Amino acid sequence: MNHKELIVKLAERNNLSKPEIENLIDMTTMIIKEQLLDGKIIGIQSFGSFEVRKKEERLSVHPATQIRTLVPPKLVVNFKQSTILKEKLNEIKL
Amino acid sequence: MSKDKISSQEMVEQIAAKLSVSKRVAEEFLKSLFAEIEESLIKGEPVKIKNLGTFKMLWNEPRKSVNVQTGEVFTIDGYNKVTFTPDADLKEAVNEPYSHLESIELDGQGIPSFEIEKPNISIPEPLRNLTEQASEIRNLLSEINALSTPQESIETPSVDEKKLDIPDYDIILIDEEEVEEEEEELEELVLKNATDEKTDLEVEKTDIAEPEIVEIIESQETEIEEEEKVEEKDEAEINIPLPDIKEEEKEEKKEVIETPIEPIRYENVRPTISAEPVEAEVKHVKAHSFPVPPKKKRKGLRFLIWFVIILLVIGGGIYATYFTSSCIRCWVQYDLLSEANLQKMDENIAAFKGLFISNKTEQDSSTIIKDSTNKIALPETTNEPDTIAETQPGAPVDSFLIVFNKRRNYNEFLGEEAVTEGTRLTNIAQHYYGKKEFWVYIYEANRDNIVHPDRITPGTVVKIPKVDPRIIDKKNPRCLEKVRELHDIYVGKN
Repeated sequence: MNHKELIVKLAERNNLSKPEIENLIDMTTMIIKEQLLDGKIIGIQSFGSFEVRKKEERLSVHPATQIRTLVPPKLVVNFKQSTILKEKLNEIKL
Repeated sequence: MSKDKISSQEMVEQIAAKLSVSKRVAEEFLKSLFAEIEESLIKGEPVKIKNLGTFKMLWNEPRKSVNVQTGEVFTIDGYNKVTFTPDADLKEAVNEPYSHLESIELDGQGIPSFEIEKPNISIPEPLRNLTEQASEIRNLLSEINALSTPQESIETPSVDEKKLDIPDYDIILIDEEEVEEEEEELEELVLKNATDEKTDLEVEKTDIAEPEIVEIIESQETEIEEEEKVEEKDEAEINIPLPDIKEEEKEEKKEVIETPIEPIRYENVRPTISAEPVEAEVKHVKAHSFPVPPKKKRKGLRFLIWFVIILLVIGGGIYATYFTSSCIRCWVQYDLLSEANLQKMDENIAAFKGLFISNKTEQDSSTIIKDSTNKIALPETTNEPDTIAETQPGAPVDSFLIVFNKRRNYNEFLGEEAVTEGTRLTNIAQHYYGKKEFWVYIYEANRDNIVHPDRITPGTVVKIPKVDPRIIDKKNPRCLEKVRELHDIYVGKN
């Protein structure tokens, strides 16, 4: 499902116009981004949480050429699903 | 970085506040959003949200594990997992504090060790080659010697024969009748000759002409005798034709061999006779000189090897010194630069003061001040002979260079920025000047507070200076070039 499909579905659900929904989605993404940049954890109930984690620098060796490279540290967005979501998913799969 | 957790409730509040929508609408929207995502995930469809990322459900395979305490093997059940891969935009935005870092190939640092390894690894091959070559050369030389010594041995008697035969031959020609008469006597001698031939030959080399002549006469006479014998044999032993034929053939061969030698003899007569002692000397020299060359070559090889090793050592030394000196040079340059800037600044101030004073006295201040402000080149060129020397060879005076070389005086500031963990000058520069390369100016303005641009202690307040817009023009490649030079100086690279 892509962005447009999502908007259509949400518009149906909430009885709102597509541009309104689009605005809302943009806003939420904006806020999530901002909060992440502030280094805050965003927990969404029964869905999961977004968090910025630091990946430490590491040495990597190219297996073929044996060239060692120092990979710098980086910050990565991490998403962890909530247990509720996990259970839901498992129920359906099983 | 405070790790506050923001609940969905706070999210709702924020959305409501920013879009001026009622909280209920926002809450419903948010719930429906994630419910929708969930549903489509359960269907197995990935969900893509613009500017945020994609959610996807993955099946984690069941795997075996061991209970650490009891050592029991048990399987972890497979489960579904929602993965989130952030959008490129989000990824970059989040990673901004470390965005300037790039992965470094460590083999670049390993250069010195590689240099040390080089002589150990790469040299043996040429050495091996050299040794192989040396052994080959030795073999060749030994072969040549082996060849040349028999040649000598062949040559020497032949030469001697040449030397001695020809007079002998003449004598023989003259004395053939006598020879015939002396046959009986010679027969006796022949026996001796047969036994002493080898020794005679050797003697011939060294002895004086007279006995040699006699002996060779004898040898030739023996040949004649043989011929006679053959004749006798022919007469007496007709029953055995084969050896006769052989002997005849031999004789023919001898003749054949003799005939080609004869012209050579004639050619070599005079030189050989006259140069007898010389040739002996030459032989001696040869005898000495042949064993000598391999020694020389060995010595040469040793020299070569030593030379190569010394070269490498010197090269390594130069390399090391170059590295250190370049670092030193870079610092020295930096110091000089700062000093030069200081001097220029002082001179500029003096120039400006002088201008002002003169303007006041002339009371044409307004126009000239304008001139001075518009064309900073004027005071500099008029008051600084050094800069004239620098700028004139460059033909057209570069206003950019002048602005750049002018000491930057950071009195006006755009703002202040408190350093937290992860704050980078580049980010601040990106924020204020629109290009992260211009961090150098921030560093220059905050020299007192910052020890090293890569190590800013959290808590320090960085002042963001107001910089002449001409030197932070991100579209001007020269700006960037100059800034990179500064960057290299400050970071301490070469």
